[in-house]
Amino acid sequence: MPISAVVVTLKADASQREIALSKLRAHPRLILGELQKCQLPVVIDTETIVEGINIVDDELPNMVGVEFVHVVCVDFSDVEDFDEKLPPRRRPRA
Amino acid sequence: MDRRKFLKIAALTTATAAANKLAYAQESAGLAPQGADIVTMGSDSVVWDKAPCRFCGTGCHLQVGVDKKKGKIVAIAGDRKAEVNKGLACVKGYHVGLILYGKDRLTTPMLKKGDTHVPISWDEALSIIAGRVMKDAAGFAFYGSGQWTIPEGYAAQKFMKGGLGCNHIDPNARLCMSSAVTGFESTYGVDEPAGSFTDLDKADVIICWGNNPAEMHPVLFSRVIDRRSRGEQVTLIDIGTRRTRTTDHADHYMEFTPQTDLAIANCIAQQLIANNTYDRDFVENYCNFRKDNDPSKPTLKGDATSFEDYKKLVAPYTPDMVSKLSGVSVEHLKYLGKIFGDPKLKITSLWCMGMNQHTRGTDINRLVHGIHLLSGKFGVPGSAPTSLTGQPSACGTAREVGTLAHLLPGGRLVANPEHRKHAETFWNLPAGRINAQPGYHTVKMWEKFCTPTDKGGDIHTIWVQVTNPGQSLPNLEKLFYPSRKLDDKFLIVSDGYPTATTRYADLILPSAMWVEKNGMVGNSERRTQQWFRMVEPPRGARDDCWQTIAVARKLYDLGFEGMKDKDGKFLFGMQDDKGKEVAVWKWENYYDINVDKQLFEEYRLFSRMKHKNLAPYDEYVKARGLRWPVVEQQDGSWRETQFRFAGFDDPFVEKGKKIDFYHSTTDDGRAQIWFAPYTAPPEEPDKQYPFWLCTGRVLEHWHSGTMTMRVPQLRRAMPQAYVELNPADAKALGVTSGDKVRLESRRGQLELPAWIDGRGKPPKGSVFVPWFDERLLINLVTLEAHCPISKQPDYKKCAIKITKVVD
Repeated sequence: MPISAVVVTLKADASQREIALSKLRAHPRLILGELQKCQLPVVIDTETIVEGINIVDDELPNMVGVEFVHVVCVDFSDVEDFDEKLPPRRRPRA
Repeated sequence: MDRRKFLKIAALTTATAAANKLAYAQESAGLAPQGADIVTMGSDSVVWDKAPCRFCGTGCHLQVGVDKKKGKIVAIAGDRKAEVNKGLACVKGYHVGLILYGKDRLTTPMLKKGDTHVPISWDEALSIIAGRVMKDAAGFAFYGSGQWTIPEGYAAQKFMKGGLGCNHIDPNARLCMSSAVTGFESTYGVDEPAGSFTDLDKADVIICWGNNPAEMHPVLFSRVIDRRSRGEQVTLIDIGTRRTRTTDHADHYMEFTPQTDLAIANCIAQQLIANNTYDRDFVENYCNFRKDNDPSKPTLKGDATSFEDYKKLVAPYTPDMVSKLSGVSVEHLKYLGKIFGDPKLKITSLWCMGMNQHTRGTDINRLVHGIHLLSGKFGVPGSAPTSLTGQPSACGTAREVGTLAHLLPGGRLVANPEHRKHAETFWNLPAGRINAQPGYHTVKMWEKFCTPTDKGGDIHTIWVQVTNPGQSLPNLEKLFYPSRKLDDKFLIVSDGYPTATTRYADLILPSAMWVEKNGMVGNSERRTQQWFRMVEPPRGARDDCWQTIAVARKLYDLGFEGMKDKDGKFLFGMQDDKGKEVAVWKWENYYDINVDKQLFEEYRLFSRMKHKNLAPYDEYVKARGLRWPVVEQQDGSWRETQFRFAGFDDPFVEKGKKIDFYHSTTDDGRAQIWFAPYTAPPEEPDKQYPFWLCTGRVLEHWHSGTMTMRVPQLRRAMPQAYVELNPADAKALGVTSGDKVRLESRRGQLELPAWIDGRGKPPKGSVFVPWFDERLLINLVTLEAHCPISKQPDYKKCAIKITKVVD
């Protein structure tokens, strides 16, 4: 269950920023810190690493009102097994 | 308070501190942030140490948390003391710690027997390699990497050029930045950017020339975002052939027909002269003009010409003419001319593979340098032409150590007798050991390897380290697979994981990765960085540098003259601090001393000739990297250089001069403004093959995916390659997202799922395919045509046809 810290840069436009803040506040995996100008500290607590990556890589950057996502740190000391079962990735060349 | 609650509080504290810095930019640009080195996350069994990130040429510094009880990386944090990234990382930094823990790490040397690979001992493996050298040293080649650490590349360099007397060593960086090298060399007389990342903090305008830093250099790109979020006015211009995440942030997007970037650059120059807005003082004091008298036979040095001649040559490239050619609007072209002609604006140009992987790569590099020189947008913080590197040590290793077929360390040439003498002196070699004939560049090396011996294929063995040519070479059907059908050709691959290359290797060697070994690298802004080993590699895997030294010792023990210096001593002899020799070629002794340090201290002697002075190794241990030239001060401290050739910062600029290009190719302190005409690419869409194909990377995966495709979480995020199609083209083909399509060129074909209106948006008539997926090798389709000067192939433009695959 990794815990990571990011800083979300919100858009300068106030209405877009509010849309983002409202979504972020409602997100079950996020703990928000105090907004500093457009910079919002966020802690992400997920069950799996893949969930964390999806939030950081996909969900947050594509959220309306979010300009950018900076990763600050990630701790996966609670994660016992980094691997997850996935389909095989190799196939012989034709 | 339970541990997880503590971790969350610590994480929030860390994030809050980072947010505060971003919001208020407390530190001045160019100075390292202050503050404690203690990372607040983690438990008592977690030990932290610094290392640059394993991935891109930005060179972010990280703090790596290792659980000593588990012997595993358990946490990663941006290093708050690092000037490059100021405590931040990107999503690749989020998972860099996981790349060591894929289940299929290579752990034993393996020899191909029939259709399988069977385990053998390290001793047998090393003997086999030595045997290949003894068979014919002149036909033994080394294919290395911009992901080699500096000591790794230096050891290979010395092994080949100082030991075998053979110059057939070339890195994969030939495929990514050799046009940048020739661009710099022919303009300034010396390689690598003069500016630094600080330029991004000071520029009024940032122009991306065919690159996508929002995805490929995100931490660097975030500097622009963060400045804007603080209310600073920074204009971002994206000049590209397809819309990307960078375009989403750009003020101006200028889409151009592939190859016409040459014409666009000439158009800016034309306007500067026609409007009389070029920087007359700068040009008259600091610049000469050059061209190739015969453009069909381009050379690195070219021919001198005059300003008047240059003016005539750029005159046809009016905004009207270039707009028709390139597709960029007249308004946009005039805008570019206007901003370059505005003396108040500071402009930084950034580029990467769009300009380097180009059949006229040297020329387009020269032209962009040229417009900066013509407009005087140079030598002032915020005004710089800056090529970015993709790999973490394309600069530090490939370029600076000189692991290219024509180079020696420190910017020296094998063809130059004086330079060979320097190297022979530093390496204590008998005179004449180093071969004066440049070796084969990458494309030629692999061509020769794929050619039967009796038909002139004089490369019989290639040793590959830290790269994946079976996936990354262009036109694989010509440059890779044929060698696998020739019985007398032998492929050795050192890697951490099985790859598209190890699959076909004759001999596989398991390698340690990243913080499983000591290392040093050099990033895009001339910053050399260092780290210590933090975790053990999987049992059986060993450092690439050790592998090279161990083979060298095998050869020495067999009496191979090349592995002796002129006193008969082992070329890689090393001593402890009492002067006693240490048998570093034996793995159990390799870490008895710091081999990296000994190699680096020898290597840094080479660095002074081109004023790329490096500090002693121990200075890099203390610092989060230092930008060369690094010069010792009177108080014993070491001062780095942010801005080369500028009198206010570069210690080698002649006193009293504002700008001094002290490695000028014309020996007069001047840089060269080049003219080069637009010419059509070697292959363009036609009736038979009506689409452009461009290839490149994606945010989630690093290069050929050897590491990142092994992180299951990243594979989930981006599970396979695809082809980006324009919606209009998709409709005409009857294709929707997810449908399989066949891409076919004159060289090969590939079937891929289509992605329409995805992350990248190519224009009509153009497609994009990422190359990270070894199951979907787009390099079966690409073209091996290359820049005639740099020999770098063009992965960004060839012609294909597309058909829908009907099951």
